Amino acid sequence: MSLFANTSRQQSSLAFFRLLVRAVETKNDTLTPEMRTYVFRTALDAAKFVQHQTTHSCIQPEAIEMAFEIADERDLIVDLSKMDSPQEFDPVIARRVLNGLDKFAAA
Amino acid sequence: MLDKLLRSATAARSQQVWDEPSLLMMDSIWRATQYLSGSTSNRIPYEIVYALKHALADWGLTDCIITTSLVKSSDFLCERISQTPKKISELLDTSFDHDLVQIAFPEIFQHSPIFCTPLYHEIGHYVEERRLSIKAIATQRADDLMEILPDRGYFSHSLETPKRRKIIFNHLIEHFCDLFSASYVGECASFYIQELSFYQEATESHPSTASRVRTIENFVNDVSDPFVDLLKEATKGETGEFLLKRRFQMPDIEDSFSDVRPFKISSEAEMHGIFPAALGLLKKSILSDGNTSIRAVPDADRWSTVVNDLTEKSIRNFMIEQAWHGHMDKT
Repeated sequence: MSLFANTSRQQSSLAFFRLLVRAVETKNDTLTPEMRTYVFRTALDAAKFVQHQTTHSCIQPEAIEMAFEIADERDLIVDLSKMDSPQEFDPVIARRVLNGLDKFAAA
Repeated sequence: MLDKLLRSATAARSQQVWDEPSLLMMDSIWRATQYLSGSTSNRIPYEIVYALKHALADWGLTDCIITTSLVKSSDFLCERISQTPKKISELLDTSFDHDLVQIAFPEIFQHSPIFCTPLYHEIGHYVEERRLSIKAIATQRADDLMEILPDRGYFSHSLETPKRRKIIFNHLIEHFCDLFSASYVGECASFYIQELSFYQEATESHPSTASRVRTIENFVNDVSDPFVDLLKEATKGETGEFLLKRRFQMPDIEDSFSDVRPFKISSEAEMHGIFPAALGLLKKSILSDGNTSIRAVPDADRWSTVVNDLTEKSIRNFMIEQAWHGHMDKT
């Protein structure tokens, strides 16, 4: 980043997380259980962070990144926060997450 | 790592899925090479790097390796090489012990440490990338921020919300980095903004020069300012103490530098404080119109070189002394 100028650098900290969400969205059931749990937990934490139900120090950095980018998707936040298990992070909700992230990226 | 990630998500092998992380990784490798090649032993500005490493440690970031690159432009840059979430690294059994920090600054300032203090601002960006304190308040307190941000007139309510959120964050992070810098080098932070960006109006990426300077002055002079208070609040550490606080002490360097002797720095706070002290002395000498504080050097054209050299040597002596004591402590 530069003190006075824009940087050409892409925001990339969510790149790997987005990859995993895309794997879920393409109905990929070969993600390891640990990876699925990780994706579910990050999305849940992000939603709860937007809703002020958890604090900065309690969650993974990528959950904060995701929270920042989808904070305006109110319906999505509500649905993510209701998830109880990794299985509930299904291809449909994965698609909605990607749409939210894409919308932010395009703004 | 990509290979391991690929095996973990075998159905995601389409080129489209892999484009983003692949490009990210290739870009990281190219940039790492550039910065590592710039870090040859005779080109590293050890003194400023030493000061920056101590600043990072104040914020709990002791795992950093700083690499440098000299650029032939007026740009100061700081970038983080690793963006892989720690949890993903752990799940893939690919962890890193250190985090690579890449700083770049104008080649002509290689031995001019007092002109390199904008790097404190740039290191602030890195600190935020690691801690995400500012992104957290931009997420949870966007509405409050609309009311107290210095250039609030710039944020139209008619802007699409994600766009507005992005701009608010851009301004927030620049103000945070200004205060991060000011917490170590005081008025140097505002001096260089005025010198390099003159009187720029607010843009999508940066606040106005006037609001940046005013916010820095309020912080440095302990003037009541709700916006400064909010930024401090965002940096509250585990013990409840604000990490964003004054961390420098201005040493009285005039007697030493006037006789062309390095100043004996006695603390980290003085090490950071020697930058604004040296800049102040240089400005005073130039403005004194011949009645210089640097008595032993009558040639005004050399004052900048002399003050920079003495600053560099003062910090280097402190580094050697600290290393000596550190060694003695271990034995």
